[in-house]
Amino acid sequence: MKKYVNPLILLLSVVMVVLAALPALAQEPSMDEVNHVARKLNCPTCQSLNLEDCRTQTCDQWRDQIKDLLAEGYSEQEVLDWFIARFGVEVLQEPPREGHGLLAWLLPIVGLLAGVGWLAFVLNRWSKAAPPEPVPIESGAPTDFGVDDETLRKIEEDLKGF
Amino acid sequence: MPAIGYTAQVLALILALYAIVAAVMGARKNRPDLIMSAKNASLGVTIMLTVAVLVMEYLLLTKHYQTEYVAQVTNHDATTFFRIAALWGSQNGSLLFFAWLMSIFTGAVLLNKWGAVKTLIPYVMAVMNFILIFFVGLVVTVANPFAQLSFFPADGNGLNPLLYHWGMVIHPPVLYIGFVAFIVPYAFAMAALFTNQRGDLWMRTTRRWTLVAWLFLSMGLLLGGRWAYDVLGWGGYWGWDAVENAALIPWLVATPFLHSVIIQENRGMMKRWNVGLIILTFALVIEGTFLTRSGVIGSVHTFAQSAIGPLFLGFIGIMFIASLALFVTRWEILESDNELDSVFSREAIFLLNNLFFIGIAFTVWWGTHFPIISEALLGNKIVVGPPFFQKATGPLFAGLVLLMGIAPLMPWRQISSKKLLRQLTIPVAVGVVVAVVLPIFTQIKMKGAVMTFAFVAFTATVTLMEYWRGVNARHRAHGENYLTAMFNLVKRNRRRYGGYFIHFGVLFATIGIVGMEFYQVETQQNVALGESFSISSPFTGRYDLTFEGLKQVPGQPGVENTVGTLQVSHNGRVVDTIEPYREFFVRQQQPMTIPDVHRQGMSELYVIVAGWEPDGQSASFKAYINPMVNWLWFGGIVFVLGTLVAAWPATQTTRQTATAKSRRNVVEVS
Repeated sequence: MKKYVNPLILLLSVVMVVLAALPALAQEPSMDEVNHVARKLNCPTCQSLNLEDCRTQTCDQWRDQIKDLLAEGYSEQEVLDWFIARFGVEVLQEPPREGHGLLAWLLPIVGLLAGVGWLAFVLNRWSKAAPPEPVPIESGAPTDFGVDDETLRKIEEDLKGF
Repeated sequence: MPAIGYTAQVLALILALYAIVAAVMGARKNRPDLIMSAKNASLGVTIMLTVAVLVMEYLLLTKHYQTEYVAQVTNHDATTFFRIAALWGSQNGSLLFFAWLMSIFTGAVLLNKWGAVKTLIPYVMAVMNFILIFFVGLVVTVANPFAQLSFFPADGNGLNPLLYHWGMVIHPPVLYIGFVAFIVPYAFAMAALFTNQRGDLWMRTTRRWTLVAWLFLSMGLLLGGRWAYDVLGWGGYWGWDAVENAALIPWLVATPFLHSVIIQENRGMMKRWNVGLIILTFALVIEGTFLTRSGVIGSVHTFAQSAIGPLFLGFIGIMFIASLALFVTRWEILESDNELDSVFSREAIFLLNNLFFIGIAFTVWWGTHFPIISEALLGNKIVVGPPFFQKATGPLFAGLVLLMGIAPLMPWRQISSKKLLRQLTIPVAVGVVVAVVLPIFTQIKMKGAVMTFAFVAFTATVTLMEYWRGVNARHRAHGENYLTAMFNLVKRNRRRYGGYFIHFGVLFATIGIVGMEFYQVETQQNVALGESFSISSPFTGRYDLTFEGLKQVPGQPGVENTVGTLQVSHNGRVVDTIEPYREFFVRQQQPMTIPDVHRQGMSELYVIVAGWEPDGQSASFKAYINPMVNWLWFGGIVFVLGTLVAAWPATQTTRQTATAKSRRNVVEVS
């Protein structure tokens, strides 16, 4: 029996020990880093608040979870994926731009384009219509130009001077 | 006592039903006595609902906990002030309150002298009472605030902790008044359709009512924002929450209505569009009430639980379809008097403004309803949070700021491109200078912010020039000094110059919104006693906050406050001590984080207590720097004052010319 340890095995075990210890050695994520991710998730209990701003206990636990995952070396996207895998896409603050979530984004754009189309149609129809007839003004009646009687009287008085 | 309240509600319901029948029959058979009787019955509805509200207040004040509602919203700890306000503290009471406010408006309409619009009044009464019947019907049947418990509880539950704030106490009534007052233009529009009226009489008659409704709706939104900022402790003023959106959406449709009625009055165009907008506004008001009251947006499942949900939905359906049917049958009558002369005209710009507003309204509506639509139809609930709304509506809002500057430059009908260019020179130059100078000399470098500020500068210049033109003309024509000229100018044309005032309010608010949306910074830190942390922003410099202690202070009855004390140094110099605190509502087991702020010019340092160790030796705080945020509140005040100027009753002489003017526009077709 050979009494020496295979250097390769030794090296491998050292590497493994170091790798296992790495997360612990890595600096603990700051609250701001946790908040940065939490902002993109929904509070599980109250409606419409994001996870960052909610002060309930459940949310504290969720934020601790984010902190643990970040400490383990998860990237922001990986943390979000971790939550999606467990709670579905409804944990996200912003609807995903794919699948059903895409519908949320597309319809307003379609609506706006339809509006622009309608506007173009209306403007086109109106401006192509018969040339505008002069606006009839009843004799003696005050005009509709947004000029009040007082001003009108003044103008007429001034005109007499010429 | 509760029996009296309930009986009053039932009587109100019967009177409202009678009023509809009497009003319609009176109009059809031309019997003034029946119309008079309908009017009295309508006023009776107002009186009966007033009785019901008074009885409810009596029960609330006398701690009548056997009444389920009283037990639900008050307890022994409640002060008189919050007892009175508890009327709108929860669902059944607020429905009664809503119906009562609405009846105040319908009553006030009928007490007016309606010489010119007499023919409309019977139908106005019928429409108003039809709407009232729904709300009164709810409080009589499924949402009775006078329902009694089988036992007499020793104490009540108490109001929702969120509501213990002056802003929350006045915010709902203000918003409700904004909501219910839209019944006036809506009822007149419907009555005009019923009677085949072609003119814009309905619109002119209700112009001031519409402005008042809009004013209250705007104030309700502003107060809601201020309340969120002061109490909710997340450093912001608007969370795009379903209930907030429910109030914003009708506002987004009513605002283009206020603008496009000006086209109809001046040019006789957009008649169909205006009727459509007011129908939509009112339908959205009712839907907004439904969203707020049913909790449906949370999940489709709450909808199934709440009895009033399906009733509301049914009513909205009936109202909307009936209005549309009436609208479509009168389509031909509502034909335009004039055609558009040019794309370069105020009419065309107003159309564009309408498109932007409706685009935003639709986007917000869609985003608000998407969670429930996706859950019900796709079986996959997708949440739509603030980032969606910010991204989807931001550019459109910026576009509106620009349009607000272009529209005043455009005269009605058309403008020669030469003249337009000449008018544009100065404002565009100012806008361009701002766009160039900001990123070079200030910290404002982000594209969106720079562009929005350039738009703000452009529009502000145009608006100032508009005032200047008017003032200068008066100065030369009447020899008035500039101050008198300014005063008379606004007095002579309140709507126009009050409107520009409102525009200034919007511009100021935009500055605050840009500051918050683009440049807010935040940090959360855990500090031991005596330790400090810092936060800095290029707009305010650096703040160092030293944790000086944590203390338990008894708050209002039933509330424990934990107050954190922080010394604030600005750029190394001690400037302030702030005390944010956490309220804990013992009975409801609910915390509230109340921020404290240090103001620096228009910007604010905003700090909340986020948590602490039981021994009080360390705590975590969240600090925000909110650059330029006070421009938002200042803009809100200017906005409200501007609306008051525009809506203030005109003097006798101006009113006479206005009526003479509107009379000429009445063309009845029958």
